[in-house]
Amino acid sequence: MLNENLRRWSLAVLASVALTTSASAQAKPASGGARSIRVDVARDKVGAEPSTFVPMVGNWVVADEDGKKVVMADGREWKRGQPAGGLADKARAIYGAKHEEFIDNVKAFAYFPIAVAKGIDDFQNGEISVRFMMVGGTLDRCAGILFNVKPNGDYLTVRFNGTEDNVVLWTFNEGKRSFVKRAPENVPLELGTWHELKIAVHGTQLQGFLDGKALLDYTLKEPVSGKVGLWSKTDSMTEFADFTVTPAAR
Amino acid sequence: MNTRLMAVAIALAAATPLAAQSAKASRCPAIDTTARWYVKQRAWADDSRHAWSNDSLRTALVHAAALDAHPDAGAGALLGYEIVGAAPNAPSSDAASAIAMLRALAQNRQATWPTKSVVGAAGVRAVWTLASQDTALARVALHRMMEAGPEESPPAAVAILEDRLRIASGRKQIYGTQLVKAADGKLEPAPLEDAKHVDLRRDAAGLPPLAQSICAAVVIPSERQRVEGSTVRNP
Repeated sequence: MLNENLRRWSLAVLASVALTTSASAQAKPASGGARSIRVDVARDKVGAEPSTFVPMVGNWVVADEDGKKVVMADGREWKRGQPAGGLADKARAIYGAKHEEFIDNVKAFAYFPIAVAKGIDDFQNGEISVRFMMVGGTLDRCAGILFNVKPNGDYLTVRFNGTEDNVVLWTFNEGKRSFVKRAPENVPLELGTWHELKIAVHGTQLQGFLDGKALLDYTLKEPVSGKVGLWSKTDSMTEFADFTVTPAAR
Repeated sequence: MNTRLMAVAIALAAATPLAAQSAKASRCPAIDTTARWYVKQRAWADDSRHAWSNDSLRTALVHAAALDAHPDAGAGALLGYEIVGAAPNAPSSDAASAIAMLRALAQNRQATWPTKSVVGAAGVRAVWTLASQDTALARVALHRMMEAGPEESPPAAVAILEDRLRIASGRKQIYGTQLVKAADGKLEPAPLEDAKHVDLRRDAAGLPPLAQSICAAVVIPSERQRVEGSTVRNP
């Protein structure tokens, strides 16, 4: 089953090669010769859905924060079990004929707004970073990096939770969320302040960083391979900026 | 009765001539009855469908919280403010046992917490009112209310409870619901985190804008005193 999924995923990656260069995904060389891809929304309209991310669950909009355009997970209208509008079309656009299973699983995960980055179809090794600012949320105040997104909707996330003050790795597998590892140190962050969340993946080794400090270390069961993006939880209102993917140099 | 309790949340804000008079007299911003916070609170407080499963618990909670005797208890809170240090209404003789029961209930993960589908909006309001009289209950109630989600627990009450507990533990509040008297006697928010986005958070929680709440905090109680000739909870 796993091999079959990987095979399907490889096919999906091959099929979507033509889409890998998004107009707004800026690539620049990083140290070691690898190219960083920064997914930004500078050209997007405030209040509209971001053009460089595909919202699959929840309400994702472009917001203006001190003159800079950012992506906002806007949980004000969050309701249990509510995927993003047009989910079927969006899932079909990025997963083609395999989108039905993705939709089923996404509906099971409707507590967790996700937006998949366009143009990054198979992240395996390297770093993903994003700046985030928690604005509010009565139930939750979360910001996360989504990665290892499979065509069937399974994924991993490293997230910061402002109501718990911690960084945690979660896995979402066949409609079920499972806790994997919590960073041992609690870090209270004030609302309205910018912070950086980062993951580094090397084979099965995963590290999680908050504001440059390594807080999480974990050995995954299998190597990472899949789409990436942004993650939030229930009614969180969180702004994201400078989502950057730096694949490891081969 | 449901309409009476719903009125606690809403009536003072807009639906009564008193509130309109208060707003006019004080130059408070006009209350927009189509505003999201107003619509949200009104919808949440609606018990007209009688869709709760435990009527005896609901009745007991409402009585213990003295909402049957003082249906407007804590009305200011659902208009988005509480005055820090203001004396609560006199509890009923059953309040202590109800608080103990709720604390025990919160400790038992198997037990059903009194949410809207169990005790209706009035019952949830009673729990919230009782939590204002007991910090330990407030902590567990906040946790259970957050877990239950916005359909089962009113986000406005969750917001006020969180602010209240934050201020009590020396942290900054995040919704601006806790007001204190400044040296000049004017009401102002107790220390507030990320003031820039406070009205966004209040909107999400179903609370009116902060300026409107402060205005209401100043005006409505004094207007009520003048019109009704009675003392009210919030000075």
